[in-house]
Amino acid sequence: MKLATFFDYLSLVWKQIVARRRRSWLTLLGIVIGITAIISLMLIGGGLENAINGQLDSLGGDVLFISPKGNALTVGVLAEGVPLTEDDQEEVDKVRGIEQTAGMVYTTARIEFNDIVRYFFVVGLTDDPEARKLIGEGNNLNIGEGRAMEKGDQKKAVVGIDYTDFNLFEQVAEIGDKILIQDNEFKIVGIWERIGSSPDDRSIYIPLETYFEVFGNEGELGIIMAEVEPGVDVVVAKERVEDALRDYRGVEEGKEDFNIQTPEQLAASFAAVLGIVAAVLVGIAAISLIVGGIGILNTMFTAVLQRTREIGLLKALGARRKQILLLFLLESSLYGFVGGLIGAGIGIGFAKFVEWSFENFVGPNLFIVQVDYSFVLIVLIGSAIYGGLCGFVPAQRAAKADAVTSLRYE
Amino acid sequence: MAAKSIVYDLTDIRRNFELGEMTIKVLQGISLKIKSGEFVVITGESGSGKSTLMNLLGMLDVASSGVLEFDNVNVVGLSDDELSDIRGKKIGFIFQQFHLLGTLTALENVALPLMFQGVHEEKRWARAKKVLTKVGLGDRMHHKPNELSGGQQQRVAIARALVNDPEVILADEPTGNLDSKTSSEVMGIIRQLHKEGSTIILITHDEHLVKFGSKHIVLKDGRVV
Ligand SMILES: Nc1ncnc2c1ncn2[C@@H]1O[C@H](COP(=O)(O)OP(=O)(O)O)[C@@H](O)[C@H]1O
Ligand SMILES: [Mg+2]
Repeated sequence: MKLATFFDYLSLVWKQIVARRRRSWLTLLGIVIGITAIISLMLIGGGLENAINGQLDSLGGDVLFISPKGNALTVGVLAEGVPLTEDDQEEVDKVRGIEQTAGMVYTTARIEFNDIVRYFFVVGLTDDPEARKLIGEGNNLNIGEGRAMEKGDQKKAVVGIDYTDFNLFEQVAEIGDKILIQDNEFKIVGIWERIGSSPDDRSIYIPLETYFEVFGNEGELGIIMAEVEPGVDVVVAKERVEDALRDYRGVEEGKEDFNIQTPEQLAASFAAVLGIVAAVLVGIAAISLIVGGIGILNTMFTAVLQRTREIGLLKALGARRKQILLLFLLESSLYGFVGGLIGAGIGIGFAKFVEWSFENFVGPNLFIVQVDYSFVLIVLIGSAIYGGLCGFVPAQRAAKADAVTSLRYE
Repeated sequence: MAAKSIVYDLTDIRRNFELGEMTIKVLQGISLKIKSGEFVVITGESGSGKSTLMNLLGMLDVASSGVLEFDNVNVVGLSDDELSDIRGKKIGFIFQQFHLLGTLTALENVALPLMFQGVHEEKRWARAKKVLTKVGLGDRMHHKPNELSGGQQQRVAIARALVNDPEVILADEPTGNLDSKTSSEVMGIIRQLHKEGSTIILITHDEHLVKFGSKHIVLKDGRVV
């Protein structure tokens, strides 16, 4: 068939659909929801995968993350677990196959600057540059301005890039400025490059020793990172660290009050969450598409019945069976296509909204939605074909209709 | 077209309808010839089988028995699509109920039959405009049917019947839904077409229209009287 002919038919069918706008919208609904689910699934799923991979890349593959676990015996109370300490860190450091370790601790604190008080994270960081590199790799810490912490630094602070944003304290922080943490005066000696997540970029980093002076809980760490020696299997190293900490902390196997995770495990747990989200969306998509398909089938059966006389007329005017079949197939395909188009629009819009939310509430450049338009096109074509398939039986009924009976139909 | 060639040649055409156990014999052996350029008026009481005969002549329906030759070809036994092709190329229908598509403009309605013949777009519009002008609706081409009077709608339908330059025009009570003034307008157009050489078969129960025809056939109980 010639393309021009195709467009002739399309325009005829389009007028039919527009003429029955009310019913058409209802018909589209299921397809719209289904395609919205599919498109947002692909875009958000892709964005999350990128975000997770990006985070994992910055972690490096050979670092163990050791953190305290909530105490499972204290039923009903959301208890802090037994904290990890610098002593634990030393113990881990001694484990065979561990290259070096770094400890880190953080809490929210009262920050005062330019006579304005706000509450952000304060992070206690080691003043050992080697160990800090380990944390730096994990957290993307690179000095942007000034200098990093040095041995012997006391009330010195390195701040996140957001402190150079006027909006944070209605004044741009500069190297040498004084800033109050829990009423203790600190001097800003450095500013990190953008880390990429809003909480991190609003954090203040101070030496561990000073951290304990300000916040107490001497020696307690939030997280210990342990770098595995090159050539040592990460899983083997993990088991050894587990053994060492169990012995040192006096807990039985299976009742550990600490957690050790490898980057692979972190990835796996992210992927598991992603999988659940995907399964739910696929479920929604499948159900909506089935409902939408039945909607198209129903609409097309009704259309064929309502337009019986019109079908008879088309036959009288010389339309062949295939031509009538095509007209009705085009109509149901168009429902699929238009439903897909609207669904794709909403899906892309929704994914962009999620991206925007991430940027504003979590951090920039973390979650980026990349719209693959060739994929969108394939979905649209698929949706049109699906619509056509759903309308096939009614269309065939129309094509085979008897001219006289149809024309006389009341 | 050779003058006075035979367009229709019917021999003992019968049409029965099966209704459950019953067989309704609507046409009971019709034999007639219609020549090119004739204006045949078919009258008869309601239920005498006029429309049934018209449907057979228009190849919308197939006879139960008998021979129906159109252009010297027996059409009984042709396939659905073959009959569609003949209708699309050689027959123009005018119905009592106009049967215009409400979503299309007058021009689009008139051009519609040419679409099924695969006629190129520009040619379609040109041809449709020409016949619409001919029926006096050159200034109403872009109106939808519901923006036109009954008489105007029937004129659009006449234009549509003319658009494929048919060998024969079949009109089943074309003035049945019109008042006397518009109905004489419509008859005026049909008579004009006859004068210009078209073969016309008109069904009516209005005896006043018989005088316009060149041949009169009366049906009674499925037979030619
Ligand atoms: N498809 C059909 N099934 C059963 N009876 C039919 C059918 N078509 C026509 N008839 C019957 O045939 C008779 C003639 O109908 P028709 O040709 O429409 O008459 P007219 O046009 O002369 O008024 C009527 O009694 C009608 O009920
Ligand atoms: Mg009748």
